[in-house]
Amino acid sequence: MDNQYRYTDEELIARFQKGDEQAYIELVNRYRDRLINFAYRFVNNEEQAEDVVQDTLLKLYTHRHYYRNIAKFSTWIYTIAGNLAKTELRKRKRHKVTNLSQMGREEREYDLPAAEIESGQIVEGQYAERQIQIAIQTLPLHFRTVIILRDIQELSYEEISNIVDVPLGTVKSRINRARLQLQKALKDLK
Amino acid sequence: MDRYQFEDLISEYIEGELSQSKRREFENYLDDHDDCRAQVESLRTLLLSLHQLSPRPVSADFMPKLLKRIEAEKTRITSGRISSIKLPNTILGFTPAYAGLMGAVLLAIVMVAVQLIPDRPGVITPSRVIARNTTEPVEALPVLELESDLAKNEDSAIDSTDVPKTLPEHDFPGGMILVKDQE
Repeated sequence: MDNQYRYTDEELIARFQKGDEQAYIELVNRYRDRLINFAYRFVNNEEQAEDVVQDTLLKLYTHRHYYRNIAKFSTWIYTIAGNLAKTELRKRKRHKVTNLSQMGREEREYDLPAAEIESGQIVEGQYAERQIQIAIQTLPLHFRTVIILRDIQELSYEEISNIVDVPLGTVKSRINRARLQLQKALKDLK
Repeated sequence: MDRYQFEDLISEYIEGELSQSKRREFENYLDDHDDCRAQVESLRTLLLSLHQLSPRPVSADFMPKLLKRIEAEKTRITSGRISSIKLPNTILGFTPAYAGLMGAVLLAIVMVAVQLIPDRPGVITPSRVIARNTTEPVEALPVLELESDLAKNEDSAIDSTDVPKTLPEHDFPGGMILVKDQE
């Protein structure tokens, strides 16, 4: 992926570490869209996804010297984004628990899912995407992370292994089980 | 091959990572199980759909917002550096009140430690110096002389100026001997 660029990601971060702010802008341009897709699939909310990516890129700026050229830059930036996305979900869960505890029983029963399907107004492709997005949210976090990184972000098994910090074999079996679970979730949604 | 083995290998089969022998075994199993073949096809379609999910664009104000946050962060770091230049309001890392308290406790410990040092004959220790200073006036008192003086004239007033320059050598183990005890 880096072949189309003049500098690799690792060269850019090295330049940025030496004070070249233009290298930072180049890295932001390269990763902004990829990270927003990753974060959106993870937290299922555009605003929160954007906050996650903003925080990730700000962290890249403030913590640039923490990067060591022993891992790929993409691994490092996805690790930061993944951790921030998980934090965002935890915050939301706490908030949700608080809100639910303040609601009456009836209100809780009529609480609609976040991704409501507006029948008749959505074309088939969008409908399918929506269903997939809902199904992804049903997966446990460790499954959700690996399936987004592998099947949406198209990272290699090795990279995913480094990002989630588990052995390669575990990643492979986790992705396989995540796919089967996603398949089942989609079947149940239909 | 059973159903569990089939499910374990399904991703590797789709991604073409199975060895030839395993692949043949897997396909033989598919030939015998139509539902499994349908599952493989369904998963293949799902993976294709995941690859083709439409990308989410960032909002129009994404970059200005990010650059604004970076500027704010730069300002915060700079002001943080300036404030860190200010002299710390501490003594060796302690607040003045805490440092004073620690000092008092330390002094008390030293005083107690000095009192606990055992006395040895011929060795001048701080406690011995203190003891000598407090007993010197007592040694100067002419206890035995007073005895004889009192014997001569019990009513006569005791005057320290009557104390002879040279006192007979008496042993004073343990302190003062009272006249009453002598009797």
